[in-house]
Parts: sequence; structure tokens; C-alpha cells
Amino acid sequence: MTGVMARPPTLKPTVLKPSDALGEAGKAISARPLPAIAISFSALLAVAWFVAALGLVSTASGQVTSAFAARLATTIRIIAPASRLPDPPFPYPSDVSGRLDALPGVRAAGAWWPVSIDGHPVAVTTGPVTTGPGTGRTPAGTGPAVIAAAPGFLAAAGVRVTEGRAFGAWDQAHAAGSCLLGSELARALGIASTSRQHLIYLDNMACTVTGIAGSAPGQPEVLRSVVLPASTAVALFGPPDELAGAVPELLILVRPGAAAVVARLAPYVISQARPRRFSVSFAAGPVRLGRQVTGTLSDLLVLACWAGAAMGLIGLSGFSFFSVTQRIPELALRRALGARRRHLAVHVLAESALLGLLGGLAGASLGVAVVVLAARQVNWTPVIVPAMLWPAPLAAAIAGIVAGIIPALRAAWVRPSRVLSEFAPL
Amino acid sequence: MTVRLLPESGWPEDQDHDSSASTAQLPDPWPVAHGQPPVIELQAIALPSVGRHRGQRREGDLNLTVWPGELVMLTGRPRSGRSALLNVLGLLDRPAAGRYLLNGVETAKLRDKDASALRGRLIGFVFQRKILLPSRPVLDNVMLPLLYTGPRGRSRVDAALDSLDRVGLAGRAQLMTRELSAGELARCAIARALVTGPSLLLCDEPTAGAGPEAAAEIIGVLAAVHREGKTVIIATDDQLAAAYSSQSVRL
Repeated sequence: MTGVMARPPTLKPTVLKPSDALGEAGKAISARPLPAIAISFSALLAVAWFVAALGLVSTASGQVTSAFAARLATTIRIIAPASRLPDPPFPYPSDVSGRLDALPGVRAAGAWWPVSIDGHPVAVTTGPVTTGPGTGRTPAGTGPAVIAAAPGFLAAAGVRVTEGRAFGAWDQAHAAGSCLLGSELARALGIASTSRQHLIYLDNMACTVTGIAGSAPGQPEVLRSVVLPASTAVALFGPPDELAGAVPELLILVRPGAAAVVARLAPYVISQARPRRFSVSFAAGPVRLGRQVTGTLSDLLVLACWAGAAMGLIGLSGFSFFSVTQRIPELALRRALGARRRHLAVHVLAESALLGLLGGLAGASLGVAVVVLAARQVNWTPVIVPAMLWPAPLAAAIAGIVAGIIPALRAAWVRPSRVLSEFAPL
Repeated sequence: MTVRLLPESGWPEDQDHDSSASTAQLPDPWPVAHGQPPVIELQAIALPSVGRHRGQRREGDLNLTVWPGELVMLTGRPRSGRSALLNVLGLLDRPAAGRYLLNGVETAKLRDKDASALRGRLIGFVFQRKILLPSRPVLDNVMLPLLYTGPRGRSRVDAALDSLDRVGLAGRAQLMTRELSAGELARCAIARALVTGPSLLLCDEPTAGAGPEAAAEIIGVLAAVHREGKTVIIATDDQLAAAYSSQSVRL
């Protein structure tokens, strides 16, 4: 007997190049289209489900966010309560409106205060009172209010002038004797138009009506008041008297969703030295509810994605196993022709990855179509996140590989001697 | 299992051979292989059990030595174990007992990598069922073993066409396998087995299902392969094959 060797001395091991594995996967798919369609259909459904669920939830979240944003606070009020320190009569810097306007999210800002004389409301009449100043005053709390408006207030209150014009920068700068009437007060005073120059008398001091305010959503009180330029109010009635309850208030109009941030920053913008002096308030709005709703939608999204992934994985795995079972004679033949166990596993994995990828591409397209059509049905704006869309086919390919692991193991352990003698010819 | 190795034809006249003996030893060395080690050495092997005997270990009594360039016929009744023996020789199965040396290599402890390399590069196998991929053309089927043994691109196609030419199927390379006759299927399977240039060709009933003319063509192809110096082992009862064989083993 010749000498015995434990292994062949010069024989190169058999190999399977990746390009050959992919090529064989492509040929196997085209040769057996029905199982291939079944396998990739489960990937298609899973990815379509994933993308559609993601897109629909994103679209719905967008709608919910918009709906809640419309109900968020857009008005902030700041006052400076009386302190023990000697404060100036007007607690805000003269350029406060400009400073606040510079903050992101601020649309307009301006101060106002109710004008009174020694705690009594200012008498408003359409003609001079002959009994002398003071005698024709309206009793406290019953007459129309007189409001002093600093620059920016009218914009911050959202005042819309329906007749005439509002007073402007010139009136503010020159303490002009002009005023704006609220529509309810104008009706009460019998003033319907400003085509004729109407005069009203504030504590017997004449004032020209420049316009009538039809609406003021940020400060509805304006509709029942006479609004004076702040400089005019100071000139006629003196600075705001805190002791008489005339506390100047800053009104800030902000964009939806910006209230919290602006409210935090505004005191520092007004006075870096004493930001805590100011008391800031705004309506909280349904922020928490909005967060709860979008959080629930996100949870739903995660559940939907996992359900889709699990569904696809099970479908892929089942069909892949079925396909491998049908191909056992072919796999045994390959093994007999020199393929190693790992080569058979690679064949199966490459095929299921390719099918997953193809199904993923088709599924992503279908999912986008579903989102767009569904959104169009209800007149919503479709929201599709590209960062989640593009990886979907890749994730399907990976799912294909994962789903192919068990079938690949099954293929790797095929016994060619049994299979080739027991199975019918291909 | 009792195995009898009966030479039926082709014994050299100058050898002293007792044809009535049931022996596990063949004349040693065979004349065509002077100075070369045997391709196959079976030492007291038992074939793997099938059916209800699976897993049972038995003492083996099958001995066989095949020298390079021999054409060996395996004969016997159906279910006598010819296919099982070819499976063992082709490293598709392991013997239940005994030793099998292939080109001097102990096969019992071969790793998957080495066994696959031997199957892919050294052994060509023609299966009884002529298993071919049905939805692929003839050329693809013949190129299949080359997928694992190296050549790429055009050289892979050239090798497959050359192999088809050797079996007389060059003109049918682009046909689908379902369009071939039984004889052509067998020759296609032989072309696939030869495409890697193996030195050992194992054929399990290559003429099964083929008509007399087709069977003659198949045996002619195998004889031509043998004349090229390859070692050929055929499991068949075809008498024409017996005429070409250098030794015959009856199971």
C-alpha cells in the first residue's frame, strides 16, 4: 500500500465568487418566477405596510401639529408689579418694542396702560362740558375706558382699523391730540364715520378721532375704549399712576409655538439687571394634549413598523423555506459538483436578499402611492420622511437575509447521496 | 453483505487469475498503471446502510483497487449497492466501515473543504437520474461545476462548449434541457462531469432509459474518455460497456 495522506496535497478548495452567487440568484429567480413572486410579495407587503404606516402617521401628526398650533397661545403679557425700590413711572425702556421685535418668534410688542385721573375714569363726551373740568366726570367703573398705547401696541393687539386710520409714529412723537375709537364706543357715541373730522372730549380736552377699530383679538377691551398715543396720554394726564391701578402692561404677539421661549427670554431683553422684576403670563394652550396625541401617534408608528417587519419576516422565511425545500435536488446536485456547505447557504441567502430587495423597492413605491392617495382623499398634505423611505428596501434585503438563515442551514446540510437517489429528477 | 468481485472481461492473458474465486483482491498492479499509485483503494469497507439498517455498523468485506487509466464496470442485481458504492467513491457518502483511500488520501477524516475540492476538481459524476436544471439551457447546465472551480467569463463558456463538443452536443448548447432526448440528456450529464477536467469519472447507469443506438453513443463517449487516460468507473449491465472494461466488479 502506498503512503496515506490526511488531505489532498495540492488541490485548491472550491470557491464561490460573490458575483457568481448574485448571478445564480438572478438566474434562479427568473427560472422559478412563481416562488420568487411569492417570496418578494411578502417583502413587498411588509415594506409597503411600513412605508404607508410611517407616511400616514407622519401625515396625521403634521395635521395634528397644525391643528394644535392654531390653538397655541400667541399673546404674552408682562407687567412690572410694584416693588420696594423706587421705580420710574414707566418701567420699560423707551425702545422696548424694538428690542422685543428682535426676538425670534415675536411679531409685534408694545405697552399700554389704562388712563385715569386720581383713580377715576376719564370722562368721554362728544362735546365740551360747560360746568367746568371735573364736574362732568363719569362715575368710576361706569364710563368708557381710555387706553394709552405705546408704539407697537396696536399691532400687538391685532387692531384692525375699519374706518379712517390709526395714529402713527408722528402722532406718537409729537403727542398729537388724536385718538382711535373702539367700534362699540363709536356706536355708543353716534360716530359711524371719520369722513368728517370728529372731536371727542376727554375730561373736556378735545381730541381728534382718526379712526375706528373694528377688531382687536389680542385686547378686545380696545373695542369699548378710546385709544390715545402714549405720549399724548402722558402729556394730558401724566405718567401712569400705579397707585391708582394704572399698571403699564407689555403686550407681545408671537408666532404659534413660540410663546414659551419668548416668555422665558423677554424679561432679560427688557432688563438684564432685574429680569425677575417682571411677571410674565400667557395662556398655556393645549401643549400637553398636543404632545400626548403626537406621542400616541409615534407609539402607533413604532407598533405598526414592528408589526410590518414581523409580518414580512415570517412571510419571507416561510416562503423561502418552502422554496428551498422544492430546490433540494438542485442543491444536492450542486453539492455533488463541488459546492461546499457554505456555498449552498450563500446561494440561498443571496437569493432571499435579492428577493427582499426587489420586494422592498416595489413595496416602498406602493407605500408612497398609498400615502399620497390617502392624503389626497382627505385634503391633507402628505408627509414622507426620505430618511426612513430610502433605507426601507435595504432593510427588506437584510430581512431577506435574516429570513433566509434557517432555509440556508437546511440547504447546507443536504445529503446529496440520499437526495439524488430518492428525489424525482428535476 | 457478501461482495464478490468477479472479473468478467479484459483480464490480461499473461496474468495468473483464478476466475472462480470470490476474492477482494484484484491483480496488482494493473498493467496500464505501472509505477503509479492506485486512484482508489477500498479496504474492507461496508457500504452505508439504507432503510431500516441505517446507522448500523457492520464489518466490511469489500476490497477494491483501481489503477489510473482503468475502465471498471460495476455489475450486479438491482439494489445490490452499486449506486451506494459510487456514492462512497464520489465522496457523497461515507462507508459504514473500512478505509477508503482516494489518490492516497484517507477520506474518512476529510474536512468539508477538502472533500468538496476533490469532488469539484478530481471527480466527475454522472448520476443515474441525469439531474439537470430544467429551466436553464444546456450550456448553463454544463457550466455549473465551473461555478465552484474557478474559470470565469469567456473561458468558462469555452470550456463548456469544448466539453459539449466531446460528447457530440455542441450544436445543442442553447437548447433547454427539456428539449433533449434521453440519450442526449445522458451525454449532457457526461459533458457536465467532464467540464472540470477530472481524472476520475463515475457513471451510475449512464445508458438507463436510452435506446440501443443512444446507449451505444454513450458507451462510445465513455470509451473515448477512457482512451484519453482518465479512470472511468461505470455501474451498468450494458454488455457493450463490458467490451471496453479493464476489470469488472460484481456486487
